[in-house]
Amino acid sequence: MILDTDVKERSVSFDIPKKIYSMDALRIAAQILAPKVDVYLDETKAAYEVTLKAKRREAGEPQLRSLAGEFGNELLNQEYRFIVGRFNAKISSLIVTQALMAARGGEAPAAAPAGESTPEFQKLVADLVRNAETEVARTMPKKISDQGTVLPPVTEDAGV
Amino acid sequence: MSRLTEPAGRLEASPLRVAAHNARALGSSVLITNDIGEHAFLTEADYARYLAGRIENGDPLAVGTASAKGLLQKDFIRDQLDFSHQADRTVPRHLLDWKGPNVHTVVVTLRCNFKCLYCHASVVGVEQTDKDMTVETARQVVDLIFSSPNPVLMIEFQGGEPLLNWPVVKFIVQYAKEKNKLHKRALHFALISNFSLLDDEKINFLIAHGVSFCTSLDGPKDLHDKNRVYLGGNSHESVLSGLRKVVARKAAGEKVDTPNAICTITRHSLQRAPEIVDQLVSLGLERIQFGPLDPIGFAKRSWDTIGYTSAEFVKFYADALDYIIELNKKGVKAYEKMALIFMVRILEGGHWRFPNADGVARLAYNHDGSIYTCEEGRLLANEGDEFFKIGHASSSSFTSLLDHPTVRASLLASSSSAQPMCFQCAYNPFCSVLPVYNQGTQGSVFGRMPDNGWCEKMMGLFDVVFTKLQDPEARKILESWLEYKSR
Repeated sequence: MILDTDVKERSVSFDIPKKIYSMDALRIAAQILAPKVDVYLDETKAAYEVTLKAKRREAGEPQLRSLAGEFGNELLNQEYRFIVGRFNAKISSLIVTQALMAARGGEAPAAAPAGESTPEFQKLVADLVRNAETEVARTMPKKISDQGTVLPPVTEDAGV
Repeated sequence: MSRLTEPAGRLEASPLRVAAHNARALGSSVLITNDIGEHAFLTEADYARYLAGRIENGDPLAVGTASAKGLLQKDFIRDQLDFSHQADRTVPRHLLDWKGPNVHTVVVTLRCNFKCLYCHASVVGVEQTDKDMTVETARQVVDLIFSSPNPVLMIEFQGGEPLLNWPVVKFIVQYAKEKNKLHKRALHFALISNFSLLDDEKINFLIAHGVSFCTSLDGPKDLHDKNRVYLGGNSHESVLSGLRKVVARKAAGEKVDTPNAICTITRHSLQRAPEIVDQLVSLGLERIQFGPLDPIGFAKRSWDTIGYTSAEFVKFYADALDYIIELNKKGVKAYEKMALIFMVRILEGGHWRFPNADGVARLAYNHDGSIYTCEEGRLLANEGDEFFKIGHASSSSFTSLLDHPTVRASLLASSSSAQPMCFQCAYNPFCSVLPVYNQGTQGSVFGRMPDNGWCEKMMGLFDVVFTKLQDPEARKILESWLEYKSR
């Protein structure tokens, strides 16, 4: 890969052959590197012309070359993933769907036990909640403001 | 550059006799593995003979011995495949009989009284009670947990330091147990704590309700205290004190599991494997568990001072495993957790193809009710990446969590069969792709294996373990650790 760097512009440009790489792989690689670079694309008949512009202000020649290398690695990874994925895309999708279906309990998941809606159970839960909230109020330090400082204690003459 | 290895020379495989497999040159042997998780060690000469289709059905390599299966039983001979055996192995490996999430990590507070160097949890100070889970949120979380159809449910309390929100820990245990009288699941609890606030009253409650104990102990005092700074006292002593209390209660005949202590490995630990193991063994702990650091979440910020390369961790692990095996030879009862997991995967074959089935096998609930596919996904969110957030306890149904696109993407990414390099790797049937690690370090759930630190580490660890498995004495010890798997 021939790299054309412009340190002043914090950019590096290179060509990607269309015979080897797809636009889909290019887009995904661009997406993955988006936190580090802005990606600009142009094209000729035989190649995609890629320009990466570093988002970090202190990007020098070695950093620009490194970014281009990382982009190239990701591009190769994505293109290769497409190739591997094509072998087993159907079975893979089927298995994931089956696994998700099994995880939700099959086509007819069991309903919650009827006992949960009885008044006795509801009272039990209400008692547990009340006891826990009482203990929280009794044992916890005073709530604090969003800024992280302890709120002053409330005094009797505090205004409303 | 690829880390895959293969025997020297290009060999043509006989299409009739050679079943699909991956190979790895390992020392003077060739390790072969197949999709259903069987493995075999061959010499280079035998591997050449196998590829050429010159291992007949009566060959000792094919039929094996009374104690070791041969290539035929392991389904490495293509025209003799046992499809019933393949089906038995395939169904659980693809989660087709799975019953929904069973591990539920509940972060009851972000507050912590420790300031650990590497704490992934991005904790807040002890005064910030607005970072506690409320009782109402806890109730909603328990309701969601019981929406999972899994007959086994494990609720793990994490933080921050969970004991700082003790009333909510108690409430979750009590409410879950009441619900379970109707649901009748196998319900388990685990407390992951620094033990600094573990007094007798809390121990009594936790033991009475069958909660197991887990803490972090990073080794000898100087090492532990360097890693784990306790704002209110002696970090090492507080952990030891808690561990001793629980161990004593067990020794007194009370029904409680032996506590677990996970040892996080920092750069300061790398040269001290025997000392670390000795510290854990001296406390009567049989399980040795190392927690390697990953450059994600909060640990990424301190990576320059405490981090290390994958190769450095693998070297540490090899030293530690050697030492534990030597202790076993001397009659000391101790096992290493990661090696045990590998033994289950390698020797028993019940390993999922989606070992990190986040969202499907496990879920994590933050203090504010936010739900993540896993605990590590929550930690990434603390650093600003909310990719793994899939719902909220107040508004999400269980099925809406499973239907979330992130869950499907994580499942697809967890399948190493669809990963470049992984699908050619001999360790594929036993390994795990970690979507959260990939997202945190390489910007996508699918990752990029050739320069992926997790992959490098896992391959190194498998090299260590498979090398040990070729040594009969070490293999016998490793096999004996399987007795610990249900503990």
